[in-house]
Amino acid sequence: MIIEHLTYRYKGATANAVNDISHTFEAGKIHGIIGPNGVGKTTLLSLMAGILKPDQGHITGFDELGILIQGIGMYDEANAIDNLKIFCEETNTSTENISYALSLVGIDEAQAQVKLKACSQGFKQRMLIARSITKCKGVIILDEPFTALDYDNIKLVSNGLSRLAKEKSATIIISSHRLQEVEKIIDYAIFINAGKIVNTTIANEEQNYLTITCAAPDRAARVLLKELPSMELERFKEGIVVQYANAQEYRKIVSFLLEDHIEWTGIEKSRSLTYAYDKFIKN
Amino acid sequence: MPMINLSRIRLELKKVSFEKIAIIIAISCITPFLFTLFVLYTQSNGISTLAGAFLVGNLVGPWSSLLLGMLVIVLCYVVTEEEQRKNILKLYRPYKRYWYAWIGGKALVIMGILLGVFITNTILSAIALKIISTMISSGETFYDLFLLYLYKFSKAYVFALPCVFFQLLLAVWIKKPVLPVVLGLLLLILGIPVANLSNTYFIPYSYPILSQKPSISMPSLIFATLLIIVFSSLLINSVLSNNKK
Repeated sequence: MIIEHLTYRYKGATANAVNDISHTFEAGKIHGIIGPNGVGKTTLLSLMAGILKPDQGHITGFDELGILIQGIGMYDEANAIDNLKIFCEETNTSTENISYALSLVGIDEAQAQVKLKACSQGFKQRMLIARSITKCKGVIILDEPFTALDYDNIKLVSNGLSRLAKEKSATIIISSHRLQEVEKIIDYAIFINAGKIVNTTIANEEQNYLTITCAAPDRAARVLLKELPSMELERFKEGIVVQYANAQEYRKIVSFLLEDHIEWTGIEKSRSLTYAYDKFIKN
Repeated sequence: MPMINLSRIRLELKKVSFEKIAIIIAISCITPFLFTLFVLYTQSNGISTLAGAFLVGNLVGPWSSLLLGMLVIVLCYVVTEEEQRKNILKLYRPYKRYWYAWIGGKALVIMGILLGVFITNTILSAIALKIISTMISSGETFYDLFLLYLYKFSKAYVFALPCVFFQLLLAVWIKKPVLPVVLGLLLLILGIPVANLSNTYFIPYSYPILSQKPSISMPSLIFATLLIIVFSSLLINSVLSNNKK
């Protein structure tokens, strides 16, 4: 799926909710759209889903689309199976994937016969995910899919989505304002702020970062670059951030700093995603 | 354009609450019938053929002008309310080029429920007629009266179709579910004097009443009915396909 220069402004708003966003979503991968509340995630996904019409830009490169957008519900009077059948009928979709979709979100046949009005919010949320999965061969857009789910269900649905991406080569796009919910399953993280993509990170790259808070960041940087010239290092006002590959390299960094009597007030390990989130979203 | 088949109607019925539908049918059939019985028994001494016919024609069931329209408005609300409230129609927008199957499904479900009411009412009317025929000696047999009202009810039933389509249009056009009900009721009330005063076709809610008038031109009424169905369907399709801001 390719989006190019997507722009959208709500009627009466003074700024664009989505501002000239372009990106290519690789097939068979899980992409996380991450950012705090109100930065344009749902608007971007609504544009990609075709629920909203962009003011500018276009979307190409997909056949089938499964959608879960916040605020769009299901029929409470119907049971789980009938809800999916209604969706298939309304969207001209084959019903052959219904059992598969339900199995991915951990809903069995007996549970699927209960009317939704008698079900919990967590069950309804899993049903919303299952509804989008009935279109399992193309692109699946999930806006905050883990809302109302407990820890076990987040794990269950995450496993289901990973299976789906592998087995059906589905492109899954998940939005979330909580990195912890999605960091274990996404392949790519797209950080969004103020309606724009601010960074794209390969999430499954096992890169680790060390944030060292110290009084003399320039001196610390000089020492480390002298000993480890290929090291990726970034200075900031209160310290430095370095990238390290493994525990051996981590120990080396610490010993070089100790040998040169560089005193630090804080030393904090983080993975690439957390680092990117802190850098591009929190700060 | 997708076909409207039986499975579609079955699924449409699954979207709505059977309890709600049962209550609506019960209220719209039994309440007027009980009221008719009450009037018949309390005024049995002075009852005439004309009064009997008036009571059956206007009080038994929703087939009297006001009740039929009200029933259509309530049913349109019931079959569209959840989809509007939960934004489900937004979900279908990316997948649908035409909404005619959806419109047809809704209209068929409403007409199906109305048919249920129609059958129940015919039975209740037969009971009311039997009571009247024992109280007055009109010269007409029970069977004659039964056929007469069956014919009248059938016409009202058929000409409720433009109300259904127009009310569906209001229900999808106006996002707040209560407003179409209020607007529909206003048009319905306005439609009664309009239909009684002249043979005009501006207000679809007056068509069931117009269909009962001997002076009405049936081809004109049929033409107006078809026109409202076609234009309402086109407008509903356009409203639902529009990606609003």
